[in-house]
Formats: sequence, C-alpha cells, structure tokens
Amino acid sequence: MTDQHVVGRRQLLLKAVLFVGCTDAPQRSQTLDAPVVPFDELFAPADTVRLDSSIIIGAIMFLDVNQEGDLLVTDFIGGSVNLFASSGEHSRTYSPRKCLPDDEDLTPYSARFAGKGHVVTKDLESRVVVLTADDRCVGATRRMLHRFKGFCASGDFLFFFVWPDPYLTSSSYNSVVVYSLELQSLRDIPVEGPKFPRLNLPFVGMWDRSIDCFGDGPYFTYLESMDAIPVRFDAQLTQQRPEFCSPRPQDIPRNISREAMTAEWQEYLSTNAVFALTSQTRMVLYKNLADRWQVEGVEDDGFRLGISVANNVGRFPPRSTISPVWPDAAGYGYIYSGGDHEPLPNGDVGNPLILRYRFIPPQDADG
Amino acid sequence: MASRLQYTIWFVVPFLTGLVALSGLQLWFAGDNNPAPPVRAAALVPDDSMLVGHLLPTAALLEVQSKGHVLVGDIRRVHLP
Repeated sequence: MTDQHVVGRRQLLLKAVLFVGCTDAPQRSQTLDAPVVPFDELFAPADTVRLDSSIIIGAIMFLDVNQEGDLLVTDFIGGSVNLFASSGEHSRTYSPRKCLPDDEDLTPYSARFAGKGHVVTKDLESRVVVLTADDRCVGATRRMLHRFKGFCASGDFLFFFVWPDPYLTSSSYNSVVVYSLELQSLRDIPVEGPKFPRLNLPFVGMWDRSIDCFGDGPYFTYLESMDAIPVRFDAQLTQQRPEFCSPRPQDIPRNISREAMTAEWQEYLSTNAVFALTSQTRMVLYKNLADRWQVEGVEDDGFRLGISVANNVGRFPPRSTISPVWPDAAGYGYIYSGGDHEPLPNGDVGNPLILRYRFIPPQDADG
Repeated sequence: MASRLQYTIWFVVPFLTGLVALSGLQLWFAGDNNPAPPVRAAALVPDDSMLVGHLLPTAALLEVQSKGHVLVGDIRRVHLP
C-alpha cells in the first residue's frame, strides 16, 4: 500500500469520525483480559537521546513525537517550544508568543504536531496557537469556549476533549470539539460522559494527555476508565481489561474538603493518560495500583504506575505491565521518559536526558 | 370569550418570539468570538519554587484556577539543576 493510499485511508477514517461521531456512545462488544507481563517483555532496554546542548531546556513538561521520531519539546520553565530530530539535533524554535503579542502571560504547557508540519501549542489557561513548520502564525486564541482535558491533532483537524461540565450526571454526554488548523470550530462530537462526574470535575490525570489521535480517530480517557474510549462509533470495539485493574467503587462524596477529595482520588486506581504508541496501538497509563503490584527491587515513588497496551484493530492480544518509568510521551513505536539533567564535562549542567524504550509487540502477534 | 386564534396571537406568539430573541442573544454572546471568562493559572504544588531552580519531588500536582474551580492534575517529575 503506498503512502498516498495510507493518507487517503486515514482522511477517510477521520471524516468518518467527524460525521459518524454524533451517533450513540460506542457499544462495548467484547472485553479481553490484558495479563501483566514483565516490563522488559514489552519494552526493550532504554537508549538515550541527548538534546542539542546549544538549546537550553529547563524542564520537559510535555513531549510529542511524530511519525519520523522527531521530538517536540515544551519547556514550561523556559517557556519555549523546540523541535529536535530523533537524534537530538535541534531543528527549530517555535515562537507562539508572537501570535498573541499583547499577551505577556502566554506560557506554553503543551505542544503537539499537526498536519502539514504545523505545530499546536496550548497553555494551562487554554490559550492556543497554531504555527506552520516554519514558525508562522496560522491561528491563535486567547480563550477557548470550553476548558479542555487534552487535545490531539490528526491531519487538518484538532480534537479538543472538553472538561466535563460540573452539572453532568453519570448518564450525560460529554463532547470532543473539532477545530481546523485556523482554530475555526467545526463541530462538537458527543461522547459518553464520565461514570463518576464528581471525580472528573476537579481532577485530571496528566495535563493535556486525556486524549490522543490514532489512525482510526481519537481515543480519550476518564479517571475511572478501564481502557481508552474511541470517539468513533464502532460496534466491533474490543475493550481490554488490565490484570491490575480494580474498579473504583463509587464517585467521590459530595461536600467534602479539597484535601479529602484529593485523598479520595489517590485512594484508588486512576487512569492518567492515553498515548498513541503507534497509529494503531494505544497505551494507557494508570497510577495508584494496589500495593500487591509493587515490584520487588523497584523504589516505590508512591505512584505505582501501570501500563496497558492494546492494538486498535486486534493485531496482537492486549498486555499490561508495571512500569518503573513515568512515560512522558509515546510514538514512533517507543515510549519516552525525561531523565535527569546531564552533567557536562566542564561542570555545567546540560539538558535533561530523554530515555527511549522500544515497544516489542507480543510474540503471538499476527504477522 | 376570546377565540383560540386570538389567544394564540396575543399570548403564545409574543412569548415564542421573545424566547427566540433571547436564545439568539444568548448564542450571539456565547459565540466563538466571545468565549468564556478567562482562566488564571494559580499555584504550583507543592510550591512555585521550580522557577528559582529547586529540586522538586519525583512528581507533583499542578493546580489551575479556572472559572471558579480549582483543577488539579499530575505533572511528571521535574528535575532541575
């Protein structure tokens, strides 16, 4: 199949998302168990990416990876967005601030690759800027209509996952809003609402990571989700159930203090993020696994991370693992995790290292 | 006694007209060109010392104040020199 065919097929699927997504919530026709396997059975030993030291990176708060393995690094400390080749060589610095010149507070928190080489940046106050590959402003907005739990980009479309409304009931719908690269709102796609709305109102897992885009459209998560949920209606959807998954029994109680709410959130398994490991493979990150999943010899940092991996078209059976690393990004068949700043020979401190772990599809995978 | 037609003209039609006008106004004010009130980034938890180069714990929560709500999410570990 040629690249042109693949692109054409993807566009067709995206249009299906746009126009069919307004139907009922997906029907969960099948659930497959995702047994826990050792981490090194799913991911090869890490190799290290050293970001070009001519660019100073304070802290990698958000990382995106495109299909060529290029890295889009958002430095929340330095307020910068930089593009690096997969080797770590610096390619370009983006300047979202120039698109909102009278807004001095714009500090990008996240940035993602979009179609046509464009880049989308978002800050925690929902200022969104779209830039071309050569850093020209395409769209910019100081305020979006909604708050968003995350966003992803696929081709010419941007998908923003709406932060659920405080007045939602468990049976209500939520929505994913589709924007053009020029930030024109194209449509709202209704999606199923959270089972536990009071949990999902104040809390999110990893900021801007509750949705990711795949070849068959976006998938999103709520904090209580067992698996990522496709935006696209698909009667044949197969859901996976990680072995460590123990369902949260109830929503957080009404009228309790924020501290008590936070404690309640942290008491049970929490679904923190969804990543597109490949265009067909979704990876879901969980934290607060039960004590019995603590791996011997691995320092307990208090988060107890779990990962599940499943293929959207069933090319391999789902698996889950206990993760010793906190994934910052996934793509290009790898997960990426920011490490410590590299000490330089002259005694200075260099950029944070990026550790990259290649995904090994389960052995009984087809083909 | 007023006929059903008169009742419709004098009461129902103005009511519906007003309703439509109000909805139109609401849509106009809520349009993309006039979006929601601003949100304001608030505190970094456990503190905002990351800006002056302290080492934070392996991970932390980040709070954002938005439309009267405090939104809380995970940020991954932040290692600073």
